[in-house]
This record gives sequence, structure tokens and C-alpha cells, in this order.
Amino acid sequence: MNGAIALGYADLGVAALLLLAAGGLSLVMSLELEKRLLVAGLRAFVQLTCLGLVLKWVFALTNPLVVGAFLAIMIVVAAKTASARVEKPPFPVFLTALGALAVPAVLVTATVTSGIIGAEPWYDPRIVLPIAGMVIGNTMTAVSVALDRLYSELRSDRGRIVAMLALGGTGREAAAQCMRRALTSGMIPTINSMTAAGIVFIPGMMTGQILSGTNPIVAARYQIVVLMMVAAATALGSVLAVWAGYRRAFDSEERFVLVDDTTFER
Amino acid sequence: MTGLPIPGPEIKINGLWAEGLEVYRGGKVIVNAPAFAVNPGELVLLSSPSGGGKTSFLLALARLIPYSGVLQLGTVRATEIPPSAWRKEVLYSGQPPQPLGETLRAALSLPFTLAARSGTPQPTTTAMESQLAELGLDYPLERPTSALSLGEVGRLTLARALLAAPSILLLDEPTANLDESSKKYVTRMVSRYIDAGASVVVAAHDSPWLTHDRRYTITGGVLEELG
Repeated sequence: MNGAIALGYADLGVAALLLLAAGGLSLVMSLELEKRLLVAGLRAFVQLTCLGLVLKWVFALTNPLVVGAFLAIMIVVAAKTASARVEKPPFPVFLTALGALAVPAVLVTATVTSGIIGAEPWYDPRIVLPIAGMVIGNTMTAVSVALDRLYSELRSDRGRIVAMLALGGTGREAAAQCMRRALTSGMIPTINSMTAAGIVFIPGMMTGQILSGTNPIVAARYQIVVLMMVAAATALGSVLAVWAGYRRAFDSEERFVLVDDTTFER
Repeated sequence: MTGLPIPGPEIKINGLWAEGLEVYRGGKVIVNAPAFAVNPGELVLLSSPSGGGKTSFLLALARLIPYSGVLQLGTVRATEIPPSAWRKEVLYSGQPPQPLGETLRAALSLPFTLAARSGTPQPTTTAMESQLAELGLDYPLERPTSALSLGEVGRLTLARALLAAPSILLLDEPTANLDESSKKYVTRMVSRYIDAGASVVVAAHDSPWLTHDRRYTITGGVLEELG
């Protein structure tokens, strides 16, 4: 790699002007978004600058424990974010989200970093952390969408589910349709982005690699690996989340526990 | 109308007993049933003021909501067999009726796609058609269930429950949303099902069910047999 063109504070200032332009637009059109734009812009500046500093430190250390701790923090924060995005969950879903994130985060990241890229040493943070970040970020969205959809489907399908149980169906049989819908909605964004990649947009990682001077053919191959790995991770994460999530909707006596007083009343 | 026996799976003959049954809703006891029984070939009528707990009591008999106490089917305690096996024999059919299939055929064959009935053959096309006709639903089996009225869906779910041939059939307001002639279809088919040796418990507040063998009522949350 022949390196990226470095950006100075002056360049960031020009970028800030773009944000100000957006704020001005909000003022003119009285969208009342100026304040939120400003706060979000500042947050992005501070968060990303800190991330840059922290990553520089972690890269310099190249210590497996530090890499592991970094991964653990990413997974926990992602699980918190994912569970907070589930609307009106019938039970706390943090642990479900944590499990559904941790398994693909470890399995898929390891497959890509060690199996495909061949990181040397295997915990090289310069490779492991960006890959894990993409895996975790995408899986987080998939898990929260899948869980949110699962519980809204189970709630709106109460009558059907109880009727299926009454005919001798198991919880799994009764919830199958809701689970399918939840899995589909968890997977659709990934499938859409694979379909549109390269036609509608240049994917983010490929953009970054091209800007930093990588041969576009190599960048394309990396991007293909990333899309496949994101597909695998979101599929695995959604399946785990939906599977764990549906089980909690039925008790050990195979009764549907998301019933309320209106389920059987007329 | 033909008076011929209905072709369909064979009904096993069992009675259902409950003793000291307490039915829970939201962690509280809402129905207390010191004793309840329905014998093979009996029609038991369950009445109570609206919201009096009829539905909850039936749901508990089908093990669909929490209960404590003794519940027994023939010689088998509820605790001895898994819920899906129990519900296959103690079948609750409630309101609002759920078609659970896009066509009449799909709706009627659904119970036979469940693991609890693996090995039980699907009812034949003739069996499904005659069951529907007997309930006044003279439609082709490929008709979409979305084209049925609520009362027709109710009769469809009754046809499905009868084809599934449980020992004990628990019917919650089976004549709701039905006109007088449709009610007759329902009462006739239920009587015929009892004559075949099965037991039926009907929860209803209006009663075209003149020929019941026994009658229970729930007052103030307590189930009592009426003399």
C-alpha cells in the first residue's frame, strides 16, 4: 500500500463547513434539526478521534489480551444497543442479544482473519478489529431487527398461536410462521446490500481501501469477502436470536406466555 | 342429512375428570373447580355470566393456561403425558375462530401436519367434503378461507376439530355468530359426535343445547354442578 493522503485540521474544517451547510438548510426550512445536527457532528468528531487514538495504541501494543478486551467491549455495547432497539420486549433481551452476537462475532471473525486473510500473528489488531467491527455492527442490526419483528409477530399472532397449540401443535410449530418472518426481516438488509453493492454504491470498506491507495481489484476481493462474511454473521446471529427468543415465549408446559387478558375475550 | 356414519379417524373413548382444580390467570386463581367430570358419550353444558371464567376453565382443561389440582383423561394423569399429546385428545376450539390455512383443504388438514399426529393419515377428500357439507359449507376444498364469513369460519373450525377426532371436545361458544339454521347444523353434528362415544363440553350462555346430560355453572369463580 502506498498510503493515504493525510488530512489536517484545515481539511476537517472544510468538512465542518459541509455540516454547517446542512444546519443552514435546516434553519431555512425550519426543520429544527440544527441542534441535533451539531450535537451529532460533535459526537462523531470526538468519538472517531478517540477511536483513532485508541486503535493507534492497541495496534502498537499488539497484545492478545488487549485485542480480546476490545472485542468483548464491542460485543457488550452492541448487545446493549441491539436490545434497546427492540420495542416493548416481553422479557429482558440483553442476554439473548449477547449470545446471538458473540457466537458469530467470534466464529466468523476467526474464519476471515485466520482462514482467509491469514493474519500474522493471529490476533493482529490491525486486521482483527476492523473485521470484527463490521461483523458485530451488521449482526447487531440483524439481531435487533429480528427480535423486534419476532415479538411484534408473536404478539399480533396470539390468537393463531393459541389455536395451533390447542390443536396439539408444539410451541415451535405454533411459532414457525412468526419465526420465519423475523428471520427474513433480519436477513433482508444484508441481501439487499449484496444485491446493490457495486451498482448503487461503492461499499464503505472498498471506498476506504481505494482512498488509501489499494489496487481496486484487490479492494473488490476484500469487499466480496466482507459481504459474504456479513451474510454468514447476520444469518447466524438472526437464527440464534430468533431461536432463543421464541423459546422464551413458551413455558415448560408448552403454554404461550405472551397472552394477555384480551387474547381469549370477546 | 344422509345419516351415514361420518368417514374419518376413529375416536378413542375416554372420560375427563378434574378434582380440586384451580385455574390461574395473571398469577391469581380465577376459577375454583372442586369437582368436574364428563363421561364418554356425554354432552356437558357450561354456563356462566359473560366474563365468568368459562373460557379460562376450558383452557385449563386443555392445559393451555396454568392450573393446579388433578386432571385426568381416562386412566392417564395430565402430568404423565406431554402437553401436545394431551391437547390432541382434549381439544379446545375457541373464539374468535382461526382458519389457520389459506384454503379450506389446508385449514382442515392442518392438525395432521403436526408432530403430535405423525402417523395418523390425512382425512380423505371425501371425508373433508362431507364434513363441510354436513355443516352447511357446500364449498370446493380449494376455496380461500378469506372468502368465508366469521360464522362460516366458526363452522370450518368445528369441522376441523371433529375430523381431528379428540376424545374430549371443548367448544367455546360454538354457535356464536350463527343464524338459526346454521345453529341446527352445529348441534346436529355435535350430537352425532357424542353418539360415536366421544365427550363434548360446550360453554355457552344462550343455549340451543337442550339435550345435555349434565350442566355446570360458574358463579363467583366457583364451578358447581346444577341438579
